[in-house]
Amino acid sequence: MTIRNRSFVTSAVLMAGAMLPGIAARAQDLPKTKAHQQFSVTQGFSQSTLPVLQRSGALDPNVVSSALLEKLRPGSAYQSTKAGARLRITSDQFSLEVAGDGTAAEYQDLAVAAQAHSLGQPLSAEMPAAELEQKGRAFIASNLASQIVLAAEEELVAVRTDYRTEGGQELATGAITQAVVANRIVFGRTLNGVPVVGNGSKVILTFTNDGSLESFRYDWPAYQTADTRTATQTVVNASEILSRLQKVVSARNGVAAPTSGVIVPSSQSAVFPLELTSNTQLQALDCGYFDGGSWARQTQSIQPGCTYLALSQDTNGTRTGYAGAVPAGAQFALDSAWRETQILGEK
Amino acid sequence: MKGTFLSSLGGAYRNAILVVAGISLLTIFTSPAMAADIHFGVRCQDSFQNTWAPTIDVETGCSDFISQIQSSWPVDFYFNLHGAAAAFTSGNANETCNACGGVDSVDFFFMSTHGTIANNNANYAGYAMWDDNSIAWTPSMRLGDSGKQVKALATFSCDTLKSGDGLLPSRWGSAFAGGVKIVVGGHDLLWTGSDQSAMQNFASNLENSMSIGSSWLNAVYYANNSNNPAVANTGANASDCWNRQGVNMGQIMSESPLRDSKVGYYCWTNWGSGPQ
Repeated sequence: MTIRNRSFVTSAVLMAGAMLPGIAARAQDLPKTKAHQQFSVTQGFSQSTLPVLQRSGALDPNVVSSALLEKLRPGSAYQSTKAGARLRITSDQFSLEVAGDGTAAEYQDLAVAAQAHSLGQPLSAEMPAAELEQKGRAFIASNLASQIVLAAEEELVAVRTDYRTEGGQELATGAITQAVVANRIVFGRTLNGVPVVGNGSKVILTFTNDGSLESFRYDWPAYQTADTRTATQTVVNASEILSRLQKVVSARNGVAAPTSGVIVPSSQSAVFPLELTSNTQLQALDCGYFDGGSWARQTQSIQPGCTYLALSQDTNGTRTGYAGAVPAGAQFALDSAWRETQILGEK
Repeated sequence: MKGTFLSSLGGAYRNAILVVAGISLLTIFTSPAMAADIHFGVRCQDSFQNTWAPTIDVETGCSDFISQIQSSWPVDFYFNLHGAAAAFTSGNANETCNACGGVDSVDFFFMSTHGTIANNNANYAGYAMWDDNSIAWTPSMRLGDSGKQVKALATFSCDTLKSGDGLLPSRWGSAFAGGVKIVVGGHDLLWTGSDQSAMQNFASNLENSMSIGSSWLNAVYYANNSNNPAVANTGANASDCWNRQGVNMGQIMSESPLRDSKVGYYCWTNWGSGPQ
């Protein structure tokens, strides 16, 4: 977008800015995640059919909170209130919220969070991914083993790392300081080698630079096969997935879909960004079982699907990020909580 | 208790401010448990005149935010962004007009629309209005020193809190000079449509006494791990700035505002990838 009233310009400039030096502490998908994204856009799925699943394992939030606090805060005093269906636990040292179905929870250690700034490190001193994964797995084993349960043929897999960074600028001198203050690891789940994509089946743990756990959030249901009538879906190929994605993005941004389809990349190297339309690029695609998670509007079933990140940029430079998931079943079920199924219609 | 029937706005305002369709905002009250009477204003925009900017799906998130937050604090208005640039312009009568959706007519202003950095002057961050090519630019803002003196600005919009180029203080200098205490938004892309529970979770975190900054950073990140949420504020010096970044809803009304030359330091916190 362009400024038209130039009279604002002089009053706006307080100081000259400069590009900050190249920095580390960048969020990143881990190598296996990137490889899966490449596979998704070039091949779609390894399987020709996948079972349709249901979230299960609902628990009383009071039981879940008691179990968590026994591990994390034994003997602590706290207040317990209901916020809609959610159970909210608060004290001056921590907060905990448990979803109404008991399959998800969010915890923050307020005392540890308050120390994070003072433990800041140079951006280059971010916690390495391998260390984060090790710390995360150890914490889950020690404190969340009752909640993060793996069934047969299920695996806990590290998905990505992220870093919380701080910056500050002294106006008198223009001096800028930067630091990394927290380190985050995201875990997901595979079922028979097929990842669960979306916010379901995620464990996210955040550590300060001294290794203390600052917060976690998990969404971890059990899964069971849906009823026999819709027990399996044949999945479509990468070309059809990309075609559906074109239609969805077109419906969402209000621009007519191009008449030509997206050409599926032949190579598995450096396929992103992939041109979807004249001004929209696909930044990421992850195919698996789509579970939007307990905190969101829950889908009726867990069907095959592919999460996407599509970035539009207009001629003025304004950027628009579209995220979501397209269904991947040749015959998928409409779901009022899954907008893309409604855009594409019943198949 | 104060209630506002949006559809009963006077004719003078009707052309400028259109009520977001399908939203009824009837119940406005303050929970006895919440000490301060913090008034909220909400403005969001999905589609734009002559499609001058791409359609996005943010209004559901705005409704989610309201449905949660109004159980604790009053929401004075929920408007779209038709003819809204004046409501952000320092010195314009609309800026402090509650019935006009003015930014300085409430304590906590929440907005969702496109955000951008001007492509011909990197010292400008802006928010897209509905009207063709209309943008509310930060250098024309002075937030927090007139009317009800807005204390917090939360915007689900891309890029406006960009800090990687060192120009955040320049872009936001005029706006922060008015004394606004904290601004939360995006330092890069915020992805729309991935999880519409994000704004409900933001509201829930605020109610949970989490700091306003952490409430935003966690809710937006957890909704989509590719999001790039940010929080920014000012201080007299570095120590003061970082202390102020921890402000929560119980403290936001009593924290003293910093205006003009009292501002000596800018500080910001980000999750996410940084500039692409």
